[in-house]
Amino acid sequence: MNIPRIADVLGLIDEDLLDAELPRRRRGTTARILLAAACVCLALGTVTALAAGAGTTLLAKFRKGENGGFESGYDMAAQLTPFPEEALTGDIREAPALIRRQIEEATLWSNQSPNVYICEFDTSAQALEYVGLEELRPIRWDVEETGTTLSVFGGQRGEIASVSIMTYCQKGDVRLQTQAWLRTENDSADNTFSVRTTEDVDYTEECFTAAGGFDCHVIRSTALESGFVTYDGCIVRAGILYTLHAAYLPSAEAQADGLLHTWADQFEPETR
Amino acid sequence: MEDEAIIELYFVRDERALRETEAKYGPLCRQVAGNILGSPQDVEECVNDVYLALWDAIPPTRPRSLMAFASGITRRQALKRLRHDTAGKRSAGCLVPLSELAEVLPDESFRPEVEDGELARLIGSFLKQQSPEARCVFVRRYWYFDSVRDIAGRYGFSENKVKSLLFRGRNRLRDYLRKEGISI
Repeated sequence: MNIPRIADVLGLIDEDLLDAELPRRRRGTTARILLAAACVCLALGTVTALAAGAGTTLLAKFRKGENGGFESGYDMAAQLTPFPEEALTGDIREAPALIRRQIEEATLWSNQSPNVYICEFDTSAQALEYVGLEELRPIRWDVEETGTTLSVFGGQRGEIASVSIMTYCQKGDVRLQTQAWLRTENDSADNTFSVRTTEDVDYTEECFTAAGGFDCHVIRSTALESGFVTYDGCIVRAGILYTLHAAYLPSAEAQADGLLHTWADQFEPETR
Repeated sequence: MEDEAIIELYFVRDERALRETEAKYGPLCRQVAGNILGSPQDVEECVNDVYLALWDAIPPTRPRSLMAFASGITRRQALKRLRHDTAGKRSAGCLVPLSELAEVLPDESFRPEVEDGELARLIGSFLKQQSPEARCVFVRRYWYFDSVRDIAGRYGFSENKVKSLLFRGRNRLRDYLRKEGISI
């Protein structure tokens, strides 16, 4: 078929198709924010360093209403090892140019940070291939993945500072999000991250030993207004922070805890 | 301003309709025209023609989506202008993406009886069966003539992922048309 006719044919397709846009995935009531040094001035005395051996340490936790705050949450430090940017050998090497372009084209009314390049993948395996970092390990377990969001955080010249790979999963009645967070030598921020929710919940901290012989650090929340409770499992392996976030009704607690152990047992003992 | 309110302005023949359309959809129309026409002057003239066409078409037409309606008129006006400007010459560079589709659509020399409207209906049905990702990427490439790079930036995909979605989409479209009795 000749090209002018193809143009005409496509011009006749249903107008409803032209309106369609891909929805941006948004998280629920809990928001994670990678923080800079501001975290360390929080009330360090309120918690203990229960899981310092796990590679993560709870720095502070607080509830909605405390000190006039509008959120509950906690701040955590992770012992990450910065990687040279050259260690990222996949297609992610296109990200600096794309970030530079986003910075150049940023407008005041843009609702997306120009320093963050976001890719969506069908599977976590595709995202790992895109990053191409040997130390980044896949999680092989029997859960249904519903999508993966990869965020590349860049500096002013587009250089890759850190990378987050978030995979959304579902297993029975338990909603899961796995995340891998790695830093490069370009990242000048410290190794802290924060979890926030707009609801009034309290957090408890615990630890268990995974099959690989290392500690898994777990932060559990009390129930949200919806009745769902959550936990965050944290493991640092080969300088990369891996987390598992689960939301479930108390009736599914046994299944959720089983998934936490299954996930933690995927990681091999540290070899380097 | 909401689309319904703008359309009401057209219906009462209030010229604020044009200002509101320019404010809300002017950048989109310029993008659609700009993807087809090279010169900024041609783009501006084309967009002015679009506003005139909207003024003439509404009423009696009451678009379900003003965005889609304005985009469609812009595309038609821009292609019309492009054909006029390139009459007797080879196809303009902006239409090159469509050559990717040529091999999966029926050859008119063998199947002249397949009407454009029927083919468009089948392509529309096919697209509605695809994943949102595949559908949006297809439409941005072949309807809006966006570059692979622009699509990748728009949706946060890598360029390789966009190319892969387009490649697989074209193959699935060919298979779909064959199943519907359209020989390629």
